[in-house]
Amino acid sequence: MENVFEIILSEIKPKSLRAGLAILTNILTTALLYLVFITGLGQLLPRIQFINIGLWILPGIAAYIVSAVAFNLSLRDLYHYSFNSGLIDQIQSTPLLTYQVYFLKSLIILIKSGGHLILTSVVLLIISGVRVHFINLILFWLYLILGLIFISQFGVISGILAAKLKIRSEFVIIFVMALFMLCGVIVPSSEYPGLLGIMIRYFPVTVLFEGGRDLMLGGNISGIYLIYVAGFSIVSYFIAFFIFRQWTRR
Amino acid sequence: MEASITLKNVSKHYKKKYVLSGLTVGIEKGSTFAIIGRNGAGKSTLLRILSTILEPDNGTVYISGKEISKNLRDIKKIVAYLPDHDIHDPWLTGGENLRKRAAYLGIKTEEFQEKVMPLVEMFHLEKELSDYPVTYSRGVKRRLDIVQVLMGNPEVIILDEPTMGLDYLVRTILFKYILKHKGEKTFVLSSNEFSEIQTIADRWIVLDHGQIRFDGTLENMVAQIELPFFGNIEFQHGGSHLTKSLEHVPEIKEVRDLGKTVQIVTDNVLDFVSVLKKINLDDVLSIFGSSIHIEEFLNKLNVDEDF
Repeated sequence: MENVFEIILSEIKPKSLRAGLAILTNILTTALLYLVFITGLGQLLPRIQFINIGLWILPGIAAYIVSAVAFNLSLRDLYHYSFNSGLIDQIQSTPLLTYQVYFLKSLIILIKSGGHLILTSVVLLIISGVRVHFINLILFWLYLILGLIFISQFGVISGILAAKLKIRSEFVIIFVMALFMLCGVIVPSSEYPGLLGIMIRYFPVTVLFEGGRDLMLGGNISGIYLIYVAGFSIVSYFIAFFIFRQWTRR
Repeated sequence: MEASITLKNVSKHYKKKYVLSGLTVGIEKGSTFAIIGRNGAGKSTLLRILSTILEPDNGTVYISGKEISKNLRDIKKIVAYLPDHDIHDPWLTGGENLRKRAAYLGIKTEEFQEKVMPLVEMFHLEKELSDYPVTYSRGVKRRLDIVQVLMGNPEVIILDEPTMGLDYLVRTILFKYILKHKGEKTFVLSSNEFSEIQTIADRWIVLDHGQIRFDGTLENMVAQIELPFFGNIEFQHGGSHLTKSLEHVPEIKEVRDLGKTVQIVTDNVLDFVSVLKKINLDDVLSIFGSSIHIEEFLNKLNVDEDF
């Protein structure tokens, strides 16, 4: 892989109009979620678990938006390849091996999502006026990026399954967005009762969102959370790669 | 001659149905090898195996003396493959597609002008590079894909129905490219028409239901099975003046006046070539042979086998 930088540039295609639209959409989405959950909900519910609602939901909104971006990028990428089968041949018939192609694709999605993570966090901090420790912010970003690996792999697997089952991507997106919302963006997982509570608490997206909140607000995270997210990212990467490899050989 | 590609007992099946069944064949280095067969005969599957995209269920494939499965990294560097469908991204312009492919092939940005642009000019794509492929005609899309395949200067070039959608001019450019690199690069082409590739292929196989039904040269084929050849010669100012004079040429079975085009029916392509030598070609716009049809050839083979 001599040309990694050129490959990434050619795939990210930094065109001013497209990049501008992506940035604008991100800012508007972030501002709208802020308006609903912090300004609007904050009137009724000023604190969650004794923490100011702004501080509580801010990392949740950032994690939610960026997870949605990473999941959608992977899913749409898979759909794009699924309905333009020649694109796989375009890459497969180059000197790169499948694992290299897959690594590059995952890296590109991670770079794009990482860009959205930084943008969303900065926009939220500006419009909320909340101040967080810079080190905490960096740790939050790094932890989220680690978790985005499994979110994007989840997107790849969902994309392949949905394309095989001829399910439209919109339905997958609606379901996943609701699922992500359940994972501690607003309501802490500890508030859900019984089996549902257990399932939500140990769901990897919840561990990612709630761990991210702990990092941004306090700069600390449970070691188990970190190992869980790292382990899940590694395992999901290899599972998704295996499924992708089989899929490209169809 | 040194073998560029060797297949030993290669089989592939999909859902219990054999698409390729025990193929054994060698392709000489620097030659142009054609694979002909009906739709579904196994041509594309065979080409995808040669291009390393697909793995055979059984058997071994060697390219430049190396077994594909054990030397995938080295072999992918020397093989290029044009499938029978588009291999460009509709969301990128023609130029962006070429740059993306160049990046994947290891062509540096500064080398793009030197290594890619001559091919862009050869296939008359300069004006289309800034447009998106959705605005292209079928032929322009095919030209873009051909440039993508040739740009890495591969040693082995695998082309699945390469002339699909191409006009006469571009088809000629592609064939000239193949002829220019004869002896230096190995070409493997597929088609379901003999007429398309009979002028450039050194050797061909006919695939039918995943098995080789014929393996040889044009001369072998003509010697084995006699089938009429229909040659069309298009004249700038009409060819009616030729129609009468050609009627007495011994190799010609029939001459048909089709306006600007004269159709000559001979026993085989070799006879047609000898007729061409007797005609003044100054006024000729194009020559096209609609020779042996795959169905006729396979039917003939079946009849002969029945005997």
